[in-house]
Amino acid sequence: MVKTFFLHVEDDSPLINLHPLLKILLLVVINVEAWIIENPLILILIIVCLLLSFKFFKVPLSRIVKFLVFAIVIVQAITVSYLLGSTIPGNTVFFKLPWGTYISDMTLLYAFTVVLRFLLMLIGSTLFLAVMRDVDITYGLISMKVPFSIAFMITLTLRMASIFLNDYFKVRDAMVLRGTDFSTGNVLEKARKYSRLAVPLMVLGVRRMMELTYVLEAKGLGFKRKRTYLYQFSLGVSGKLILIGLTLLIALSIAAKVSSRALSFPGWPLG
Amino acid sequence: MTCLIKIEDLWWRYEAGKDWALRGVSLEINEGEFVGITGPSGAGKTTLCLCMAGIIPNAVRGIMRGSVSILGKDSKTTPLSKIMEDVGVVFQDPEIQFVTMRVIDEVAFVLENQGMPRREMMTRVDEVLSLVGISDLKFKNPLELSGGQKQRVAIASMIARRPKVMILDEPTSDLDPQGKREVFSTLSKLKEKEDLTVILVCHEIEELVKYADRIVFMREGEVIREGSPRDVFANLTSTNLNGLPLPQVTELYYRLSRVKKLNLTMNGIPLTIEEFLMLFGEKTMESYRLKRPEGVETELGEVILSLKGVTYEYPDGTEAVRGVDLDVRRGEFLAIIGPNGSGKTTLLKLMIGLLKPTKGVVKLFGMDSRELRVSDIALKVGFVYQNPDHQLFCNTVYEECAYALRNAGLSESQIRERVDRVLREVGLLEVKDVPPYFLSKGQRQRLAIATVLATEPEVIVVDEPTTGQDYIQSRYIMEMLKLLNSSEKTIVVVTHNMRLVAEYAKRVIVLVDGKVVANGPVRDVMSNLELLKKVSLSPPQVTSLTLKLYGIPSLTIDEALFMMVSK
Repeated sequence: MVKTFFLHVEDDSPLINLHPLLKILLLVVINVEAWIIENPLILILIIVCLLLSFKFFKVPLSRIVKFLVFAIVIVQAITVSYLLGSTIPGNTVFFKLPWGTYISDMTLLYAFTVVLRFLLMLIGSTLFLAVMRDVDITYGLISMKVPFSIAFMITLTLRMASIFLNDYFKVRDAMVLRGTDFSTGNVLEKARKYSRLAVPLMVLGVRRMMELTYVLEAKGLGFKRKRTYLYQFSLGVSGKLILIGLTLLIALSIAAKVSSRALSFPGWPLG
Repeated sequence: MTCLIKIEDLWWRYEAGKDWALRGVSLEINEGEFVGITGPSGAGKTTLCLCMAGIIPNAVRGIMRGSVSILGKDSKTTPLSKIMEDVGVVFQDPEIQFVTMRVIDEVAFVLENQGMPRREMMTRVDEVLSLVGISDLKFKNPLELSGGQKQRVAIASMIARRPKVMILDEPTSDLDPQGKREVFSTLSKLKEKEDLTVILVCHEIEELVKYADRIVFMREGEVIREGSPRDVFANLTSTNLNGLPLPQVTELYYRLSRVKKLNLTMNGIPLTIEEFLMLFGEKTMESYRLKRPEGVETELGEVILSLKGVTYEYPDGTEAVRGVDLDVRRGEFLAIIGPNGSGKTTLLKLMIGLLKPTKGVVKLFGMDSRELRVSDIALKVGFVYQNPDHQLFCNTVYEECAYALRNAGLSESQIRERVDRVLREVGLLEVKDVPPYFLSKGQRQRLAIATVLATEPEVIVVDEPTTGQDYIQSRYIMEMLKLLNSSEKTIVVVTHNMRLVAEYAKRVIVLVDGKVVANGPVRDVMSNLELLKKVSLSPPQVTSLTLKLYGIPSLTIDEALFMMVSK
C-alpha cells in the first residue's frame, strides 16, 4: 500500500505511478470540465464513468462517503438558492414568489445541473487527490516550471494542515470539557464561542511555525547550491499522449461550448 | 582533543524578551564527546542549542554578546548554510520536523538540498538507515512509526549529511522508556562508530549518566556545574542539585552515608545499580536488611467509573482500545502506563466521555456515557491536557479559571471566591490579570490544573503531566495531585515516568495494544519484572536494587533506606 495525503492506495493502482504532472493536470481538467459542461446528460455520463473507474483505479469508493454530509449540505444550499432566488424562464412556471422570483421547469433542471457539476468536481477531485502523494505535488508543480521553494511550500502547507487540525480538535475538546456547548445558541452566540478558539490556535500556530523555520534551516532548505532530486520522472510516450489528449480535451470542450450547443444547458437561450 | 565548539561569555536576549536568556555562558565541546545538557525549564538549554547550531543569531532576532565559534567559524559572520554543513539538529517534537511522507524522502531531503548527485544520494540513504537500524522502514510514513522510530528517522536525516556535531534538543521527552532507550543506544553507537560529537539536552538523568562523557547543568541562563557525571554529583551537600534530580541510587548512597551507625566509607559515587552493588557489596547490604515494607491500605469508596467490555475503533478502522474491563473507585490514585500508541489517551477520552465506545459500556457515576453530554460531565470530571496551551483560551488568568464556572451558572461572588482560592493554592493569585500566554511554561501548567480545580470535580484525569517538565515541576504537579487525592478526589494519570508512578500511584494499569495486560497494586506490578520487560518498561532504580538484594520491591528511596538501615 502507498500512503497518499488522504489514504492508503494499492501499489499497483494505474494512477499511483502516473507522472506527477499528469496527476495534477487530471485534477485541473476534471474541475475545468465541470465548469464548461452544462448538459445534464453528459454530466451524468461522466459521473457514472468516474464512479466505475474507482474500482479500475483501485481507489476505495468509500472515500466519497466521508464527504456525504458535506455534499448533502451543499446540494441543499444549491437547491434552495435556485428555488428561492432564480428567474430562469421555462415552459411551465410552477410558483411565483412574492419577491419577484419564480420556480419553472427550467429552474428545477438548472438547479439539478448545478448539483451535477458540483458532484462531478467532488467525485473527480476525490479520485485524483486520493492518489496524490506529497512528492507528486512538488514534482508536478516543478514540471510546470513552478520554482521548488513555492512547490515545496504548497506541499508543506497540505502536510501541516493535519497538525493544525489536530490542534483545533484538542482546543475545541478542552472548551467542551469546561462546559462549552457548541451545538446550542444562535449564529452570533456560536460565532462568539468559536472565536475563542482563535487565540490558542494562533499562539500554537506561531510556535509551530517558529519550530518549522528552525527545522527547515537545519535541513538546509536555504542552501544556495543547485538542488538535486531523488526521483526522476519521465513522461514517456504514453504520458505524452495523455498530456496531448488532456490539452485537446480542454480545447475541444471550449470550442464545442462556444461554437455549438452540444455541451450547453438544453433550452438556452430561454425566453 | 580538538575543540569543535567554543562559547565565550555568551549573552543572548530575544528581540521580544525582557530578560537575558543566556547570561555569560562559556563552554567548550571537544571532538568525539557526548555532552549532556540538563537543568530546569527556562534555563536556556534550547537557546544554547540554537546558538551552537548557528540558528542564533543567523535566523533569530535578538541581542548577542560574546562569541560562538563552530568548527573555527564565527557564528556571527558565517552564513548558516556553511555552519549547517557540519552541524545536525534534532528537535523535541518528532512530528513537526518531518517535511515529507516517506522515510526515504525524509533522509534524502537534506541531501537534495546539499546538491548531492542522485546515485550517491541513494547509496547514502541506505547506509544511514542501516546505521540507525531502520532499513526496514524505508518506505513507511514517518508519522505512522513509534516515537523511538520517529526520532531515529530524524537522527538519520541529520547524519546523512555527515555532520561533525549532532545537537539534539529534548528528543526523548515524548517517548516511552523503550523509545528513549532506542534513541540513547543509537546515539551511543554513532559516537563509537562514526566518531560523532553528540550534544544532548534531556531530563532523563539516569539514562544520561550512562552515556554522557560530560554533563552541563544550567539554570536561569547560566552554566551552574559541569564535568563528568561522577564529578557533577560528587560532594553534594543536599540530595538534589538546585533542582537537578540525582539518579536514585546516587541519592540513596548519599542518604545511606549520612547514617552514622553504618559507618560507610565514601569510595566513589555510584551512578548505576551495578556500581551501587559493587561499591557496597551484596553481602554487606544483606546484613542491613530488616523487613518487608508494608503498604498502607486505604479504604476506597464506591465505583464511580466503570468500563465493561469497552472497545473503541477510530473511523479509519484502527482499534485503539479493545475489550477493556475496569472499575475506578472514589479516592483512588490510578496510573495508566504502557508504550507509545498503546491506547492510553483514547482510554482517557472514553473515561471522560469525549469519545463514546463502539462496543461495551462506560458508566460515569452510574450513568451510560452515551446518554451524557460532555459539558454535563465537565463539572464532575476534570481533564488536564499534556500541553497546557491546548486548554488556555481566555484573556486573563482569572477569566481562564472563571470560564467553566460561568458556564455552570455560578454567581459572580461565588466565582470570585472560588477562583481566588484556587489561584492562591497554585501560587498564581498575583498574576490573575495577566494573559495566560505571558506566563512561563511551569506557570501555564499550574494554571491548566487550576482551571480544573476551580470546578471542584470529583475525578481529575491527567494526561502525561510530566512530559517536557523539569524535575521540580513534575514533582510539584504530582504533590498537588497527591494532596487532592488525600481529600478523597479520584486521580487518574497517564505517564511514562515510572519513578513518579512508584512514588505516587496506588494502583497501576498496564495497557498494550489497547488491552489491559496488568491491573493491580503498584508494588505487585513493579515487581513483575518479566511483564515489565515484555512491555518494554523498567521499574525505578531502587525497586530493581532491592529486588536484586532482598527479593522485595521498594517503591521509594525512603523505603529502600528503611530496608537497609533499620536493623
